[in-house]
Amino acid sequence: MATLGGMSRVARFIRIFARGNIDVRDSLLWSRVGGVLEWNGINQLLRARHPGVIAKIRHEPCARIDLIPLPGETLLSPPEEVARRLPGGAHPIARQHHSALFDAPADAVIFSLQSAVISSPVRHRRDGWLLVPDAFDTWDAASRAWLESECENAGLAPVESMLQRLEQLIGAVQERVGAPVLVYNLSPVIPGERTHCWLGAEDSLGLRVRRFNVGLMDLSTRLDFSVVDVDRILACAGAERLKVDMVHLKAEGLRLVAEEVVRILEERGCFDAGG
Amino acid sequence: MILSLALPRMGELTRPGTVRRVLARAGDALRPGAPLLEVRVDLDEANARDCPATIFYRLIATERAYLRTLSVSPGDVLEVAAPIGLATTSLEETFDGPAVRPLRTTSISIQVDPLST
Repeated sequence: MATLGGMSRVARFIRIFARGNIDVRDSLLWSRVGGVLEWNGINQLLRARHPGVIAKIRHEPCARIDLIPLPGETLLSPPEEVARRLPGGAHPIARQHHSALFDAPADAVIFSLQSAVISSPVRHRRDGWLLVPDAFDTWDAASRAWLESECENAGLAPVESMLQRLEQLIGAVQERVGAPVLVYNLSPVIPGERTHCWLGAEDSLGLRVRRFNVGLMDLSTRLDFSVVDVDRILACAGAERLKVDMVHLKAEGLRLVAEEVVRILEERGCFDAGG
Repeated sequence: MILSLALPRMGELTRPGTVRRVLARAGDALRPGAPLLEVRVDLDEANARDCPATIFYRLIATERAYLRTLSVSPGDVLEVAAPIGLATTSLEETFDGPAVRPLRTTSISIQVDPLST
């Protein structure tokens, strides 16, 4: 029961399953900098635009989208003992290869390109499993030494393979969950970067983001899902002003992205009576 | 012509950068696209965010020149605009006078090997 102006009313919930990192978490849930709450998530918008509707967001960090298992799939993953022992930062190792995505009903499912673009996992030399060593520079010396001796840099994933995996995930969500899928793209703007010739800069993250964004739009010409066009939203409003770095947005940027999510959910009928 | 090389300013960013890798050496003939160094910049005060805002960027030459000095090493912490080297437009020139202008460079944001952070 929600209370509004002293009168109680029955709350309606919209269940959002979100698998993503800073972009998804900060815009949908909250952003805190130096202990100060800068943005309080999508429910801040819903209170004004859809009184009585509350978004219940189940959020999972995303090590990389190819580490989200499809229904019935068991991914090659580190042994339990390794997953328990190593520090995981924002990406607990025991959870990197698992997801509750297909375990519970949802009214909308949200993914992001961010992990596909920037996650740089390591691969176990002998067994081939991947893991993302989040905040590796803060790991204890023994854990660092173990990972360095057992694993090697797997590098950034090719655009095509990541988009193929995304296509499989979207298809599985539509078949198993039956909910609309939204996928965040990324803004390629990096504050201060002024490159006009990419000679010697083929591994520029800005260039990589652009390739992923084009691939995502191409995918959306073939599949019924929605692109949360973070690139367009920030470009229209002033990307350099709204970004801290490649992935962190200031509060106004987060609000604009959250507004776009609400608009897409509205157009997908997620707030319709009985919807 | 003597050209100066300094740690560039990335937009409004004024925080110091830490040299991660030095990719060029004094004596190198630079050409457009030649990598010079990689720098890490932590954008936040310590522990300001649960996921720290950090950028890694590579400084790249965008013109032909001869690198005559490059006085940085991995781990050095440099302020924005700190002078880090000199180049000349020909190999025969001396480089003991004032620089006429900065060496033309660009900076690109990169992802790095997680095991090397």
